Amino acid sequence: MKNKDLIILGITIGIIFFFIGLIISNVFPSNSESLVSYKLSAFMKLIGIGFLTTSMLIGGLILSSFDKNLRLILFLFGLILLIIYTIGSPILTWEISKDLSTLPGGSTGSEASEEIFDSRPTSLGTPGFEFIYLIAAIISIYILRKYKQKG
Amino acid sequence: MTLDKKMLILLGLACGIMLFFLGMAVAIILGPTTETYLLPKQIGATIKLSGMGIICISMIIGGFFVEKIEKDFKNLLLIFGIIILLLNIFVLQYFD
Repeated sequence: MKNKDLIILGITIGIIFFFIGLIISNVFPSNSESLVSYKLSAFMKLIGIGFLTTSMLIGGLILSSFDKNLRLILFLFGLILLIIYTIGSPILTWEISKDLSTLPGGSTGSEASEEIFDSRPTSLGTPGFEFIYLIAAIISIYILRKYKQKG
Repeated sequence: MTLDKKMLILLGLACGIMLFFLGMAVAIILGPTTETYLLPKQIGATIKLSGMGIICISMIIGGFFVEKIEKDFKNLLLIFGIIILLLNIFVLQYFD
């Protein structure tokens, strides 16, 4: 199998994994009692994005038969995806700060935990955080290109 | 296939990125973390940060020392490698 085929396979598998993860989380909604679909979909989405980012970065570096501008775009968007998830990664992990057994009123902690479980700390959980960094990255690239053209 | 410097850098980048995303996924799969049950966060952070370290090393070394990569790509590797390193040093440690 050639390098090109491997990169195409990586991108395809990544996108397929991501959308299968999305479908799972929408078809089988999870709640505080049953978290299996949530965990499975989060795993598939993140592994899919991992495949996609890896294929874009490596593809930009090794596909020498392609046009250079095309490879540069592939590489740059791979880097942007990596930066977005680097910045977003602390938000993607979940944590219940309160000990559920010690909540006031003898509660089992369902109210407090529901709030946390409903926030869904995956790419769809905190809407908009990727777009803020994506827009900032695009503006920076635009400014850099303008600067380079002038120079 | 000979394992020259460029192949090593590519291998490092691929392994690092996959480890990074795997760490996030593992933290979610094993979670949620509580005050008394810290294992998911510990395992996830170990895998994630190891991956991030390998990515930073590969990008900075690739940007500086590997001759077979074209100049534009080397510049980008170096710049983004340093950006990621600085982000991890100064910004992300306060959120993790």
